Amino acid sequence: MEFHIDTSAGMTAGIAVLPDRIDAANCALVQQAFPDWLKRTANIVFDCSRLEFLDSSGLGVIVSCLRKAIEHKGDLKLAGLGTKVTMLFELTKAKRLFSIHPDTASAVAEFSSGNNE
Amino acid sequence: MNIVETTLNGVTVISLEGIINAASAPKLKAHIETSDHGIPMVINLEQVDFIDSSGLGVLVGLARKKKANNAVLKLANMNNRVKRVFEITQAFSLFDIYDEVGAAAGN
Amino acid sequence: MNSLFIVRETDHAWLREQFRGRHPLLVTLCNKPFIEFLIDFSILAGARAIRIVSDGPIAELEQYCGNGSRWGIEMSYAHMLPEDGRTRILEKNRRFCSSGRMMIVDGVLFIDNDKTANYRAWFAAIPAGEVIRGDTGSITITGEPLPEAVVPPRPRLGIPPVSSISHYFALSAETLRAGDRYILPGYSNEQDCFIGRNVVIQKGAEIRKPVMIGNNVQIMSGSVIGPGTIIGNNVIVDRESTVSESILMDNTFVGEQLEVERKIAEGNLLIGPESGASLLMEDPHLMGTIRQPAPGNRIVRYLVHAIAAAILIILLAIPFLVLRPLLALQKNWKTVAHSYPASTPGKTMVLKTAKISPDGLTGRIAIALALDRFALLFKVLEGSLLLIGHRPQSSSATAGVDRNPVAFNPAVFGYSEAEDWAQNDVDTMIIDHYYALHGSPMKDISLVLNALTNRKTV
Repeated sequence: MEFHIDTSAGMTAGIAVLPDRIDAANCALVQQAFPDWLKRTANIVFDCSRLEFLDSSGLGVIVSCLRKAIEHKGDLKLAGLGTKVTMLFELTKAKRLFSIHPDTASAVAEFSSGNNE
Repeated sequence: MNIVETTLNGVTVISLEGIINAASAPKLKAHIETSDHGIPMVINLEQVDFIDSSGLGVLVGLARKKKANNAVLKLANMNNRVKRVFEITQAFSLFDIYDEVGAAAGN
Repeated sequence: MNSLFIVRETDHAWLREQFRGRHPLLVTLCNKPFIEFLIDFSILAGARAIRIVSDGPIAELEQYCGNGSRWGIEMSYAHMLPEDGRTRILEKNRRFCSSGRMMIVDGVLFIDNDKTANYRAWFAAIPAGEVIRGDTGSITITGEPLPEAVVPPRPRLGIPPVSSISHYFALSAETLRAGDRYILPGYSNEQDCFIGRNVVIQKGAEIRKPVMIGNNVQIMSGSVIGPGTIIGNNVIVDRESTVSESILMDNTFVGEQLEVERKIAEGNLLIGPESGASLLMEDPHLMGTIRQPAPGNRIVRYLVHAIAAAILIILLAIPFLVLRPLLALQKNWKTVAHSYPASTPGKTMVLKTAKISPDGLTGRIAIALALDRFALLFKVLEGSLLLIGHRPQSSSATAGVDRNPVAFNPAVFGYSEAEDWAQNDVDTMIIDHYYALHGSPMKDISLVLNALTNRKTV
């Protein structure tokens, strides 16, 4: 998975591009990669524009990533969620846990305006 | 099964009575083979209690011959049981079906 | 007065796709099928007999409506061809139309009306002609009005558009809130609250009006069935979930701690009506379909077919073991794998048969003994195929024509192979459907024997 640092908004944020599917078969990959990304920055954005399918294991991993980011005094924001994935987030109430943005630029911008709590 | 042939408005009306099944279908087939395939025909099913797959086969074959000769085959007065067979096999899409012989013969 | 409903196969095609194969008129709005709303209105308008005329299969409708005795009217059914115009349709139903005054409801799914208004007097007095037209349909009156009848003021009458899921959703919400204008199912002591039979609402669960709940529904503790919700029959809402402004269709399971807001849920399909997007939930803990148990006679048929298939396997095992290698040597055995529709809608299965050409004695014997289908006999034992039924078709000739509600039973042999008059795919379909309905397990075995003896002519 692609991960790069973005300093365009004046502070360090990391953007990870999620693949088209995260399910029981491959969610461990995200689970294992996340701590490495956290070492570089605690402000992370998941670019979900490619994400088409997410099952409950996949959702569980994303929620645990959020928890880890918060433990490190940072945040995990989600960007570019498609309609179907949004419906899943709404159904499982996961939508309330996350700060969700239409694209990565606005997610990164929110980090720098210091709005995360 | 009885077959009675009449004419109405220049259209051949074949009235059938009884059951059209594997036993009686050949009789119907033989009767129809001899008729002129170029003129319109109405088959009156008012007295037909039931039709099975072979009976359907004869009617489907006849409809095809009529079509090939640019003529038309119309069926009239199906009872519920016969209607159901046409419905469930979707054979209804091959015929013009009327609830009255007069209308079928183009009164 | 009589009423004629004209139902064209192509009308409301979107509904058929969205609600997976059910007849559009049997899709429920507020737990009542569209056809029943139309019947209610016709009766209000004074009809004593209703005929449904369609160019597509109406067995489902006929099964639901029967002969109309449930509503105290006579219902009958007729067929038309897709190219028939209004005049031809009336000719084909001349006997029905001969009673004088007729209300023709053409291509309409839903009529906005008010059950307290006097439609009978109005329809009896207005002159013949088109009464109202909507996007997809119209209502017309034919025949002479009562002589010297004064036409009363026009009662509430409309044909709202129902051409997309968002229209359906909006109409559903509006109809629930207009509960006293229609006859809606369910007991209601209070306005805006309709509850069916055998509804269990556990302690700690909350219901907020306006709401409609069907039959055999369980609402587990901690759940909130919020305002504007319609729940169908055989639904379970698990603990701590909230459902508001949504429709849960029949046979749906909603898991625990979920939030369903402004959605339509059908089995494991979650639909967002405003966006039109639908999401198939693969995790049964979240949402699922509640299955009805299979009827007992399917087990008898499976056993009979499996035993017959086992016997065929034993009889054909030696010829197969001898001829298969011989044919392979002669390069006359080509395994072909095709994917065909399975008996569960939406699923496909891959079947491997062999292509053998009738050259030489070995080829002809192999074909006569149906060795090209030997491998499929094992699928009968495992239950994924019947021994005789519908021959799997991947042809497109019947794909558009065949939407028969009789269950599709893919099999090793097709019923049409037992008869000798089928000349094309449409004929094959006709015979297959005939025996699917009129067959029995024992008759199936004699048809298998016919199919095997007919093979000599292949």
